[in-house]
Amino acid sequence: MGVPRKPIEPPTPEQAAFLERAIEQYGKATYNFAYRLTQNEADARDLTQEAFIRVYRAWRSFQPGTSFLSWIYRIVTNLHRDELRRKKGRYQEGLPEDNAPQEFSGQRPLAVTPIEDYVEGQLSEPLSRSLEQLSADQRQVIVLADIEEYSYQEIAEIMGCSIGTVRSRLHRARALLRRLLQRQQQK
Amino acid sequence: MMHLTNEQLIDYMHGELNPQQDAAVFEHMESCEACRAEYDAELSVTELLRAYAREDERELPSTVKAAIWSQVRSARPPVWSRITEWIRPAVAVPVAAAIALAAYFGTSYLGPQGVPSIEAGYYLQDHQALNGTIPFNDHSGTPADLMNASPVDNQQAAVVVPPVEYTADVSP
Repeated sequence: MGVPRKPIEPPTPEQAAFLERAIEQYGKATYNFAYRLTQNEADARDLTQEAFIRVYRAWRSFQPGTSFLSWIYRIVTNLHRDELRRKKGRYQEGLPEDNAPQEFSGQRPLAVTPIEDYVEGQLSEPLSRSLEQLSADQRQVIVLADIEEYSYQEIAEIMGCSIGTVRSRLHRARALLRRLLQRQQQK
Repeated sequence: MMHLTNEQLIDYMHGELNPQQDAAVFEHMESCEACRAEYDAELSVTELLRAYAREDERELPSTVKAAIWSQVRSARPPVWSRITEWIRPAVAVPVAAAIALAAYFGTSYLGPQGVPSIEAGYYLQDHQALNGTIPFNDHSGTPADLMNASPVDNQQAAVVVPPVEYTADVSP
């Protein structure tokens, strides 16, 4: 990453203004999104830089009236996926333990309450450690659905998959996240 | 009584159930403490994630901004870079040599053998001169033209494969 494959052309004044505005308004959100996906600053910086270069190159394909953030999130998501494929082996559709079907109809034990013990200010550590253990897809879907508050439809467009896939990925990711958090809590 | 699944609760929380399902989940939770507790547990995961995101929010590092702009600013126009490429000695010298050779063979060596060879000489000379001085004569379309071109146009000439007749040739 970092070095573009295609050479880029110098900006026209409008193009420069477009990039300027995009970085100004969405740079921080994009960087935070990249950071949540990668869980590390160096990768987040690279992802953000490359994403804005893509935006710069393809700026004419942006349709005013559509969400810029969804567009750049889609770019970041794709770049992240490519990057993980390149470092192959680390990219998995889901962790194996995540595949057990969940059955909760019938008798339900009263909910083990999760996370009330976590006090604000101390949650970064256990939560980021738990998030790290999710697969990239699971992290993406959780960040988009629960932090960024996108609808399943929007997430499907950003991640380039069906709504059904978003739904099942989110269910599994959250179930796994809860288990991981409980495990952290027990320590 | 059947309890709600976590899938239902998660979809409910994200507002992703259809109105009937949504109403059914709502109604069930009115009367079922266990499911309400489970819903609270799901909700607290989301709240935890949001609190974490707020707490851990970062500013865009100025180095990233600078790196984007330096990459953009260092870009050079493709036309200019191609002109400079043609001016380079590694390209210019062979081109000049080719023109000189073409002129030599075209006029003095091939010349006495007849008119066509002179024409060939002129052609070579002209061709080289054209390539040397107007190197972009193939650059007919602007990027906009290229974007408007439909890829389908290029696929019109589909190869039509005639049906093959299989004749049983079972001569002994």
